Amino acid sequence: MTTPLMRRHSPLTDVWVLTVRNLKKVTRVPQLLFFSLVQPVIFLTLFSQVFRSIVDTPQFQELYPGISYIQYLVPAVIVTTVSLNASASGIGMATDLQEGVIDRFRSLPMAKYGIPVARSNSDVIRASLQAVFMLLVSMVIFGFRFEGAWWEAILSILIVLPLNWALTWVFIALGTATKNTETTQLAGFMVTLPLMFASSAYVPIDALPSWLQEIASVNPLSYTIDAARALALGLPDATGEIPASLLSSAVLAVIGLVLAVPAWRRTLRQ
Amino acid sequence: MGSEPAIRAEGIEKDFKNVRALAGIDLEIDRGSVFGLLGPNGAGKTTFVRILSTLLRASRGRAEVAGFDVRREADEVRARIGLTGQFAAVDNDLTGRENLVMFGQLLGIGKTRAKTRADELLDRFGLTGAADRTLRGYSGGMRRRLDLAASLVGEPEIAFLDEPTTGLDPRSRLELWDIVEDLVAQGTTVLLTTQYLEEVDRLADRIGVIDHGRVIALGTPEELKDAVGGRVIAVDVDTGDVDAAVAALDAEGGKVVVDREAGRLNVPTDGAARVADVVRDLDAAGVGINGLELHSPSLDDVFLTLTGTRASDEEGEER
Repeated sequence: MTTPLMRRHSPLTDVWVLTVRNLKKVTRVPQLLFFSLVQPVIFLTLFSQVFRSIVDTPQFQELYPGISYIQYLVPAVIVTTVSLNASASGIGMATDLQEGVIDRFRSLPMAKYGIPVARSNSDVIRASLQAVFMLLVSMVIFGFRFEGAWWEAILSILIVLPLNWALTWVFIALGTATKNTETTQLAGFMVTLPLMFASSAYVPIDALPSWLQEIASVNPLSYTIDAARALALGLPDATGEIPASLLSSAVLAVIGLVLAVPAWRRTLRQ
Repeated sequence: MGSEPAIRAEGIEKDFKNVRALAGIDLEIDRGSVFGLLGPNGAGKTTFVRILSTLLRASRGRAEVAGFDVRREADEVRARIGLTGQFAAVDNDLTGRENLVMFGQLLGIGKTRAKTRADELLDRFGLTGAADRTLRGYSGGMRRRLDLAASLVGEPEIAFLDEPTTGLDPRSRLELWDIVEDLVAQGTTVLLTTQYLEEVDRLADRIGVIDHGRVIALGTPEELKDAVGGRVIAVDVDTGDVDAAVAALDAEGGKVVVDREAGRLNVPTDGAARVADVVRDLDAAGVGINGLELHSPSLDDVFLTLTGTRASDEEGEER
């Protein structure tokens, strides 16, 4: 009989190993990586053309006098694209559950909650890299410039991460509950599209139809878009927008976790 | 622990919604032995293995693996078992080496040890050349070998091999059999499920035949084959002649197993000498022989003998 190997049990090791694994998987599908980087360029090009006339409306002139549409748009596109890429968490979760590898994880003496935690972690790391990439593209191709202080510029990027983290849990709940990649993808669109457009991302909320204004004003994305934009453009009292952004992300995180934890527990306890 | 069995199951039952997958299984498997669980699709083999390997909870009954309760001491059990299923439980986007190192780390053996262990296993399973390719480029046989390697990273005391050769080509099947024999030589207890009688015949010390969630026969391969009657002479006659044929062959004293619909009679035999007797008896009774062959008992023969029904595919299994 072989002697049992020395085993040390740290849930943190499990989380770390699985986070690295998830990130490696991203690099193994270069097509996916390519399109996830090209997508924001397409968004910026399209939206900056389609919605540019919004600049001439009185609502826009009143709120953002002298600001070009691309300056208005870039922080919002970064926030929406990066935060909503959390839907990849749901797809990753569903893919893992569909494939046999989850059975092996379950048959190992490891921290089982490490699986969703690592999923969330790796997607937040990926989101940070994407945010930096999008920022560079915006500056080089679209001529975007920060107009506030340097620390405001940094905060305007960092502020998307809590929102992204909160959203990963919403999508992890979705992917865990459906256990199906296609369903998760379709259901994901139904969540992300309204969040994207019923928000302050592309036009000021005041310029939206009144029923949409109500949705946009409870949309957690709106708060983070407003904060990121105010910080990036150096608007007066930009830091005043931060608490609302963090609070709305926290609320979203609570919703996500309340849905994800029982879904995961059900999955473990078949 | 000494003489304590590697696996002890008592009254294991499992209900899925309205399907009873396991109807009470009692089983003890000795340490260092190979136990073959033989049964058709849907018999409950996978369900049983998933319960023993902590992936599924039994509805009733209890089981101990390596001396630990599968439900209350699941992590202790998990640290001592390896599981290979019918569907490779590995990550297709990672390389062979990355898979093994990852599972080693998740077992808690540390990265350095995991790397050494990965190298050993890749070498032993003939995968060193493919070690740094992602599994998308692996053949079915290679993926199954890697899956088996993954289940051995932690040097388990007990290996669960759930239909490890289903869907493999004959060469890969032989390679896998060699690996199992190696494992046993090192003292690992193996629980093997299969649909192939020749597989348990070659590998297992003891066999359990499972059907409809029950163990319907238990014994050594020899005992089981004795029950079936060693080799079998299969005679095909016109369906109208079946009764006459049975009457003629009963005189031989062996127990003839009849499949009336097919007009086939399975006559157990001790040696080829009896073929002549069978032909002579049928000829004397005026029964025309449409076909005759001498073969080793198949899973079907085992089931025909033990239950009187064919080992048919049924729905209701698993995953």
